[in-house]
Amino acid sequence: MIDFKNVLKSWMLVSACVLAAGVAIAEGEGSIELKATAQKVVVVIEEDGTERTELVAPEIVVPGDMIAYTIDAKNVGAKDVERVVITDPIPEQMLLVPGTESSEGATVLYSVDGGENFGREGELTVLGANGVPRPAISTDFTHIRWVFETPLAPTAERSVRFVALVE
Amino acid sequence: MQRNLQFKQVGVALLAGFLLSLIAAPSALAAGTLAGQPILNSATVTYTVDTVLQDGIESSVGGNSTPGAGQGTPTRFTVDRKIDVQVSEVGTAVTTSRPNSNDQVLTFLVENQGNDAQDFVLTAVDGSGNTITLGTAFTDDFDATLSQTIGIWLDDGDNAFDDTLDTEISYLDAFPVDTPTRVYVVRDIPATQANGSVSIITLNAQAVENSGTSAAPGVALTEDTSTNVLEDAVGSEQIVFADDDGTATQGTDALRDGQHSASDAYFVESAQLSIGKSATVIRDPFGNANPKSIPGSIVEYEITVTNGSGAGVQTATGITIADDLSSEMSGAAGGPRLAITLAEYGTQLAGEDIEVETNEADGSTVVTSTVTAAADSDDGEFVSDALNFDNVSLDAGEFLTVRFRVEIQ
Repeated sequence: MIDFKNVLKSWMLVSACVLAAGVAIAEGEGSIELKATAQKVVVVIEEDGTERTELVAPEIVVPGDMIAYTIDAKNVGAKDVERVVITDPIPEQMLLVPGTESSEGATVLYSVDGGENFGREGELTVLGANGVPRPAISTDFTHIRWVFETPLAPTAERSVRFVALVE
Repeated sequence: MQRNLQFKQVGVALLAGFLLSLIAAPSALAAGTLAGQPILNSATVTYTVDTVLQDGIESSVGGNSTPGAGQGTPTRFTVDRKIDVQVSEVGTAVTTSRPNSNDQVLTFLVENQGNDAQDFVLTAVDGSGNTITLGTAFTDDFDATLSQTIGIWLDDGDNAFDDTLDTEISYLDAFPVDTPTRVYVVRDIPATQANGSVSIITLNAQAVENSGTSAAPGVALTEDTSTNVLEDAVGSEQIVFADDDGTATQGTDALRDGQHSASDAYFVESAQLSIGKSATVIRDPFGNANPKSIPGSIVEYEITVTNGSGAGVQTATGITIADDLSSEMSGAAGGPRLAITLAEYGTQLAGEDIEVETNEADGSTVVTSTVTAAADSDDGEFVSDALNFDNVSLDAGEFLTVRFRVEIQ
């Protein structure tokens, strides 16, 4: 008979050892440096009437403003990193602006249940007001996830980004 | 290097994409995130090295490579105070009023579209020759009278003005977001106001600090244009004016100035009476073809009272016509004297002293009748050298003609 409690305990012990080993081996460093930046999207109207967007520090932010989140992943280790998956929750007070999430070199997945399950756009459903499932739309998304299609070589850097609106 | 360059290009493409996405951006809920609310965000990466799954790494603003929960630092900023108020006129129509009517009501809707409760100072500004379009264009030409203390009332929730239920106010206290509320401007219309008169009044709502007490409104707000901070202490968030320029054509309201306004107008509908009088010498004692004004000549007086046919003209009732000739009768010594004759209406019949003609607006019907000069039960009399005719009612466009003849003494 398998003692699940002991299995769990020993697994936790092993995990702790690995973590401790990791600290010992690389002074606590992993192979990826992850950097996140939040910037406010400002639309500047030029004198000739054309518009361009600028990203500025989110110093003054009010409802209706848009924030661009940029996440930079850099391989700081000595080996290729593979199966890189970046997950970012969409802040509770914000809504994803559809079409702003970067998708170059990555499969983009979404969650509508607080990060429990992920799926591609169009695969997810939520319960409608009448209790009947309906296709999820961008305002239903709670998390966004990028699954990199290719490994990241040492020193290589890759960024993902999305824009969300402050409710 | 090549890969980095490639991602830079992706970044440029993304930026270009923002413009397009602005159009498709989901609309924020009107209430919005409350001022002072911090917004945090932290990404996590998982990966494998040599097919071995590594512990997750949280993001930090400066870059984090230490695995484990709590090793990263989230991006963080505070939602600032958005000041956005909207005043609108209800009904897209003027308020039609009669002269000499009190407590006439203009209805406005005030809504706090910011992200926190604020006090809003309300002012009603009289027009000054300005024009508004409510269906058609109206140009201000008088000021309705303020007989109350403030003349601005807060609706009690029944969407109807009632001075026993509503509250007269000069400011909205701690007015919450997303609660469109009716505010009434209440004035009187002077008795002398002519038909078609217009009084435009602008209701202005100025956001001020939420004083925290209903006793008085807070101090004026100024937009923060100075040092920007990412994280503001609760209660001292930076202030952003986000209001539109109001529709008012009077007052100081402008784009993003912490205030908003709208105009409405009283349009006075009344009878539009005019009166004319003519005199024609119809016969002299010598039978001249062109009779002269000499003693013994007969003069016909014709008085015409007309009610106008313009927009909004109302029926006039109880019209009294008075023509006192006593001053002429007792004029300068030796001057001409006038006196009614009772037998000068052509084929005069008994009792046909004064001829009355009523003309309908469309000209289709003319009713002619006669009344006696005596002070009796009919509507006309000529007593003590004065004509009096009363009990006249004229619809819009109708006119009444009264004729009587006198002999120069």
